[in-house]
Amino acid sequence: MRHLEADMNTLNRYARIYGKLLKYDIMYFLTFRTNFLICLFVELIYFFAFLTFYRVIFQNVKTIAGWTYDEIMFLYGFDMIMSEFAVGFVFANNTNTIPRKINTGEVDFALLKPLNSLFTLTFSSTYFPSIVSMIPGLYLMIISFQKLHIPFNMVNIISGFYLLICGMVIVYSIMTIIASFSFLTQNGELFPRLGMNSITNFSSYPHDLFKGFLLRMVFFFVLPTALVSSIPSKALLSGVSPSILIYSGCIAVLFFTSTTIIWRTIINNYTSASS
Amino acid sequence: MLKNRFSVTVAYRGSMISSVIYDMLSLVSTLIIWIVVFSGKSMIAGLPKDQTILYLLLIPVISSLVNIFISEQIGYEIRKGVLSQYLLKPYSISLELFTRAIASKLTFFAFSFPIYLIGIALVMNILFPAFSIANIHLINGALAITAGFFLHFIMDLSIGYLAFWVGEVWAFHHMKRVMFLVFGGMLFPLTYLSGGVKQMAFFLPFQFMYYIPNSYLLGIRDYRNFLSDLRLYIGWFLFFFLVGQLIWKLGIKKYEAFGG
Repeated sequence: MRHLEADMNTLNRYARIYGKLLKYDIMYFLTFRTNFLICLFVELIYFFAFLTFYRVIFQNVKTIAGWTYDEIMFLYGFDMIMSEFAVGFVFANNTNTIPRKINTGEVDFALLKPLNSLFTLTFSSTYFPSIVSMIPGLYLMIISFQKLHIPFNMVNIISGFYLLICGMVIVYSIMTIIASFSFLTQNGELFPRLGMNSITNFSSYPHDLFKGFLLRMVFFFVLPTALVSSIPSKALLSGVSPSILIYSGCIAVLFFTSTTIIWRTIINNYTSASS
Repeated sequence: MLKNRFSVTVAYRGSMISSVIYDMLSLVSTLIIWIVVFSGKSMIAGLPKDQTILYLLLIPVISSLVNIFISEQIGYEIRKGVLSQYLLKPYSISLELFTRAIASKLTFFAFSFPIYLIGIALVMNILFPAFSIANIHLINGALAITAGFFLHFIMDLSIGYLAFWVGEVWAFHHMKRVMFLVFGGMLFPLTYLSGGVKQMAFFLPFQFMYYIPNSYLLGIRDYRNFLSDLRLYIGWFLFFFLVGQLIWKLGIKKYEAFGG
């Protein structure tokens, strides 16, 4: 009981610190308004580029792996939220900066802080435009949902939300594991990008594309991107079986535990690169 | 200078390996979706399945050869005042950036290119056993890729010079990338487009970096178009060269750096 109380206190402390840091990040972006608007514009043009891609594809086919245009748009909207989470909360100001921080010695300062190094280096800073860029994704989801004429189902909403959380944990874990390999090389600038792309390249695809033992093994277990956007979207649209809910939860826990173990091992073996 | 830059690029082999893995992931992702799109179809938008797949497989190779990242570098050097060092040297910053770009392409040829070729040949032979590497029109393709590299270099250089006025030129780099995705033929062959968007894509210069070289490689573009294409390449090159020179001249008058 005492352990649980201590854990909750730690969690509260980190939530408070995160809240303060988020406030600073928002203030920073709102101070440089032009820069903020440019960032937003960039996010939006990528959104429209991939929307064009799907439009062009659907001019030539009726469905992709059994998913209609509106279902794919719903999935794309959901995936946009997930991708913006990956970019804004994990990649842009955190994992992406690890190689530079290693080379300049800034990592040493992060390790000396009275905070968990995993939190400081992989989750503490937020790229605020990404939060705003989630709005078009949400809008696309609502529009597609209306077009599909699906009745509102509370169980599906709850399971979809639960799978969204699991997906976020999986996204964070995969990105952090791959980015942490930057500590092993002198110039590991591509590792964080590799971590992000290993998710965003596949997460917007319907999981029904992954047929056959090998593809299912890869995208449901080794690099479980099917659980990031497609399965949660399916849950919101038509519901999923309880076994999928349990499986997603287990994979999220497994990946997060692996992340902490790998991170601790790498940090323990890290020798400073600079003064 | 080139030798020096080549040695620097080769020193970071880990970065090259991760770059290949990065591209391979994109390739696998592209293959998965397009194989499904083509299920039950042998041709879409006038292109047969094998040529479309080969087109998409060749995109990362062409991208590695024509892609230029100098706008962010030059932007950083202008903002941080590093440019002052180059102004004192007996050669221009554009020559320095050019050697950096050439060195990275040479490194790609020496280390990554064979991996890509083997990968593409392997995938094509598994998916289309009748496919032969002889179907690739190397000479025309290589010429178009070279022209695309020069055009992209001068375009990116002009974008980089905007850093005299704009704090963050990376945004322009991303805008350019989106143009390449849609109007350059990176996401799909431009024949998939229709109406006004297609006309616009065939007017803008972005097609010269991806779609045109790829079309020559696949032999879907007749070699007799080459001279007229070359004229357009040169026209766009001159356009960006003049724009770049203008931006540079205006920017250097405005440029101020303090400290050592």
